[in-house]
Amino acid sequence: MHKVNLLPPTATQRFRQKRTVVVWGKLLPVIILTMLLTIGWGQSTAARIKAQIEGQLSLTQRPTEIRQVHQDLKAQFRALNRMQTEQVELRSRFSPLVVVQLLHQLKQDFNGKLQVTSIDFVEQCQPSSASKASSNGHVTLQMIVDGTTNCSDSMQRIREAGLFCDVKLGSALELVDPNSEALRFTLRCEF
Amino acid sequence: MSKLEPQASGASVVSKLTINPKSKSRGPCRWWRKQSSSLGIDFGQINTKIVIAERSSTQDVVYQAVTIPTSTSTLVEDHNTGVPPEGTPLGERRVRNSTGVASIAPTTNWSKRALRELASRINQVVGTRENIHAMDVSVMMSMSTCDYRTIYVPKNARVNTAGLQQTISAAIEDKRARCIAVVPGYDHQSKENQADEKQTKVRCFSLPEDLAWTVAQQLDEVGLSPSTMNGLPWCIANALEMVIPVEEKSLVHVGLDWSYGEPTLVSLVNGQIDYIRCLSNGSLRELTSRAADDFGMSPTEAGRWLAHCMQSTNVVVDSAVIETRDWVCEVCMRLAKEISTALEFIRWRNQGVKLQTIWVMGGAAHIEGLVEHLASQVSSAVKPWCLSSESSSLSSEYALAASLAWLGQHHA
Repeated sequence: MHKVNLLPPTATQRFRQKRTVVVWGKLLPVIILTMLLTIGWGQSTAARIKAQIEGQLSLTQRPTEIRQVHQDLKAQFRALNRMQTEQVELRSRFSPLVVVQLLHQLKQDFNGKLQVTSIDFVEQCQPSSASKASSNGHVTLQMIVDGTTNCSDSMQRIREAGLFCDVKLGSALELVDPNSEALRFTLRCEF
Repeated sequence: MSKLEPQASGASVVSKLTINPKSKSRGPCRWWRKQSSSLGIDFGQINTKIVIAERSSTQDVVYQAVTIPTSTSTLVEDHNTGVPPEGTPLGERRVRNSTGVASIAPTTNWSKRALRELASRINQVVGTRENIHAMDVSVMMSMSTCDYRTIYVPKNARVNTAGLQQTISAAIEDKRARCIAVVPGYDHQSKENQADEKQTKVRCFSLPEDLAWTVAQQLDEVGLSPSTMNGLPWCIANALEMVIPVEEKSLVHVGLDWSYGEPTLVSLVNGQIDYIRCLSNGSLRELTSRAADDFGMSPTEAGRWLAHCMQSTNVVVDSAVIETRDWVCEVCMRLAKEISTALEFIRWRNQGVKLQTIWVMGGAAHIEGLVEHLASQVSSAVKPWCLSSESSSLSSEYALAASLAWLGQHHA
């Protein structure tokens, strides 16, 4: 291969520069377009993957919710159990027999001058939060005693027994017979 | 494969040739080299020869050639004589001698406008191709625009370009800046003798810088930025390399560019340029000058007239034909004499090496009968350069343009 080059060096340089400009002029838009397409593709892929992850996360959320409900129900169940136990305890503590035993003791203390005409035992089965704060039920006693002193004594003795949180008169004192001192009254004992 | 557009810009001849260069392996074929194309443009004075070489995926090299006229009547700017006649060569001007007969004088002042038009026409011919910008473009200027000389410079010293410039300017009386290619002289016979000498021989091939710039610029403007502007002797050497069989590489081969400018002779030994000589007689200009001067023909017409006169089938009845043939004989004899002198010198330089063939290239070699006429007067074998395959061939006219395209294939 035989060759001399008579082109002026500046011309060769200028053509090379021009060719470089032409080549880069073609390459740059291609590169930019490729980059934009890559970015666009990346963004769409990321969005798709994010949506997939969110879908999977929402699927995993349901068992969590169920677990939460289960936890709540378990807590509720435990509370109910506890309440039932308390009720059972209360019932065992405030058994009507205990009240009867108390009245029998009073009657002996008053030498038979105390008569219990009726006993009414009322228990709150599902006590509300408000009623739970006041009482679990009440016992209504209708009694007949001689004189007001015995009336107040009997009321004092029942209160001191400690079985009830509140003991109060349920009715006014009334004479059973105008010729005697026997008085009839009603006590409402809250427990 | 898209084809050249022969209709465009007066393109006259189109050839297509496929060569399989598998024997000349160029290493593995890479995918980006599958369709490497190169363009060779030989700016002649009358015609511009264009050859495109394309390497296909099968490694075949397809050569496509086309010729377009270098000049037209409207292109040449001549301030002395006004509008020149049709076919006046680009880079020449009509002058009148003392007897008032118009003749053509070569000049290196190629018109910028004419070159722009020429570049535009080249682009019309090859511009329809898809890969025009990817082509490796190599060009070669007519020898009439260049200067070749051997200059002695101080041995073992850097070549002083300014000094060479001054020497050449003084010799050719042209003060314009020149692009100079300096090549060391190849003188294998006298190496030992030269050892004691204080001077060494260099070959200087030069071209006016403004012309090189203009040609390159005009081609660049149509998208055909040239990568190489080769010198004619080096193109002849490449053209020889293309046709010399491998087994004959060690022998002496001579290439002769026989075209409109000065005939240039190059000898090649062992793949190296041994000798370059610009001959002073026998150019196509000289061959056609008689017809141009006597009959007032344009160079193109004179060329056609010469081809007509040299046809072997032509029955000689016309005195004008006889006169032209006699003139051709005379010019050929002068050329043969110069060639013989050069061959003697080449034989003396390469004693013991056989001088194999003289390959004739250029437009004159394409004219029927001319090479045969010259061969009869030279002692060595003379053949017209021809690159051929089974089905088609590329004629001698395209030798230099083909060598430029071939060079481009080696760049690609």
